[in-house]
Amino acid sequence: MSSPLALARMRALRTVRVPFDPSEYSALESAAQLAARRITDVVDGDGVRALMLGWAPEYDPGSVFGAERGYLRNASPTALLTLAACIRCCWPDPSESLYPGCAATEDEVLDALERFTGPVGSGEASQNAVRRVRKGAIRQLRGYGLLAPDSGEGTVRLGPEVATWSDPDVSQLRSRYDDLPAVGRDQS
Amino acid sequence: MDQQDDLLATLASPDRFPERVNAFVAPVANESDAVAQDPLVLAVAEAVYEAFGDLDADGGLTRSELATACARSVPVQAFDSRFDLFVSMGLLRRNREKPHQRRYVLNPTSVAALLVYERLREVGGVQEILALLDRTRQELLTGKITRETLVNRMTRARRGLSIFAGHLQHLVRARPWEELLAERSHHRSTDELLAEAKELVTVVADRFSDLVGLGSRLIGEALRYSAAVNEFCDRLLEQAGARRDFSMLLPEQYLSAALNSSMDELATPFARTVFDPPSLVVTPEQIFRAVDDHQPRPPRHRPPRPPAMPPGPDPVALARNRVNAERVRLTAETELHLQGGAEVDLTSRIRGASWRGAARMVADVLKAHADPSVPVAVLLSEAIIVDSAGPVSHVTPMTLRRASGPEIVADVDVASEISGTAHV
Repeated sequence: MSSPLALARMRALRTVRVPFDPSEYSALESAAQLAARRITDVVDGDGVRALMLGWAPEYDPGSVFGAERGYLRNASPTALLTLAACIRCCWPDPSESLYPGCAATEDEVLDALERFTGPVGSGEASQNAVRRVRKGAIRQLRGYGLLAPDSGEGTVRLGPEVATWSDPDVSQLRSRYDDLPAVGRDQS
Repeated sequence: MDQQDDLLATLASPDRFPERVNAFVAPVANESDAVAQDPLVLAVAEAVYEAFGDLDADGGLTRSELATACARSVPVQAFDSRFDLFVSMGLLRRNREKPHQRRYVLNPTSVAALLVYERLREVGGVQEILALLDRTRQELLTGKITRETLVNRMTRARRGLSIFAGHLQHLVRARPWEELLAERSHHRSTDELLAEAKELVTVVADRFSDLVGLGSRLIGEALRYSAAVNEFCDRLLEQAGARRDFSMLLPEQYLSAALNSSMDELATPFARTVFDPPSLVVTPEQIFRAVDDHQPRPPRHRPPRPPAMPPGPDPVALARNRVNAERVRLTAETELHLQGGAEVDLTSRIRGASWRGAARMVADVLKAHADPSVPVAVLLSEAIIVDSAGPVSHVTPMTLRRASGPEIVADVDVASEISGTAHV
């Protein structure tokens, strides 16, 4: 498979298995460098190793696509808050590496959000509606690769896109770890 | 896909278009076979139209020039078979009315007819009603239409819409799906037609209030036509959905399919399409901005209530009593200085007192002066007595005077205007 096609395949599949042939891996790295990308080694929660396309340190999607901002989406506040709760729930020890983290349940994430924002609206119907919106945000984050695909057990794990975050990004998360929504956090 | 192409070919316009042309010409036909059945005849006319439109035909074209130009599109025999008819019926006209002149021009009326035939082929007759409504509204706005013409046109449009609505309802309820399919492109302008009808009726109501009823009937028929189009599209979609066949739908019908079809049905056309996974720009800054924006405010704690006052005397009354007592003391002190007289010079007493005594005396006398209820006034001199050896080194001569009535309001500022400022 030619390197451009291999890169396109990686882009479409998001993660691919590590090639057995080291020369194939080198070819992938060279092709990625030409495209201002880098090959990121990720290990998911089950210990399976895979490769995915990240960005070279001096580039980011915004600077590369520039005027083509329509290619990129910005996350809604609900999605960002939900992701913040997922990070906290799946990253119990900030001294450890962020990815792959550990598994949490959807209910833990939703409870953390409810504790953080407090009751929204009045009545059980409002609470249920908010919960549904947040579940939708979890599904959305799975689609974007920020959370792992749904394994059908109601669990949440961080996705491979989180592994592409740079060290300064992770340091920033670590520095304000306690501000992330968590289950059992005292809001008073 | 082959089956669908065959279906399209079977239902495509060439087989049905002659029927439409027959019906189109019927109002002015002399006999039932007035319209040629061979679709090539229209192609010859189109070739003539293209020749006159593309070539620089100023002055007209000869028959041979025209035949050469049309040979690119139609067989020569077809052109020859139609040429004399075109001349006899006026589609082609001699440029000069002289027998030896053999140059021909295309009749503009035939140009209009060819445009109409093309429109008839593509979009059916509803466009004519749309054009009629638009033209009527424009002429009404510019004042170029009489009331009688307006009534005629609105009535024609209403009748036309009624007929089309009935036709669609008949198709939906009684005709095979293939006939609906053949007409699918003829009813795309429903929204535009409804809007145009409403605009026209609005202008009519403004200019001719007695025609409001006619306008209402026109709108009623437009709505009935719109409902018939919806029913028509539903029937199409129902069948298309059952056949999993979305290739024969028009854009607005795709919209209905998107609204009414299942996820699996909609995913079928994309089974072999590769997509990039969606991308989302997320940075820790964005995450914490959302966290900060949505962090609830800390609960507001009300300050504790002050402890209840212990039982006892009223502090306000106590304060009032203190003020009164002070006033009494000051009054007594000033009386002591005055000794029943109306005025006394306190300078020597101040100089004779200790420093503390002098300060207290001056302060008490000035306080008494400032209190309106104590009937005394103080006069201060501009002079100053300096006694470096005495207990009070600098003294301003001060006179205490008994005041009565308006004199009580005299204050230190007024006194200083007369005798200078006090320095203690």
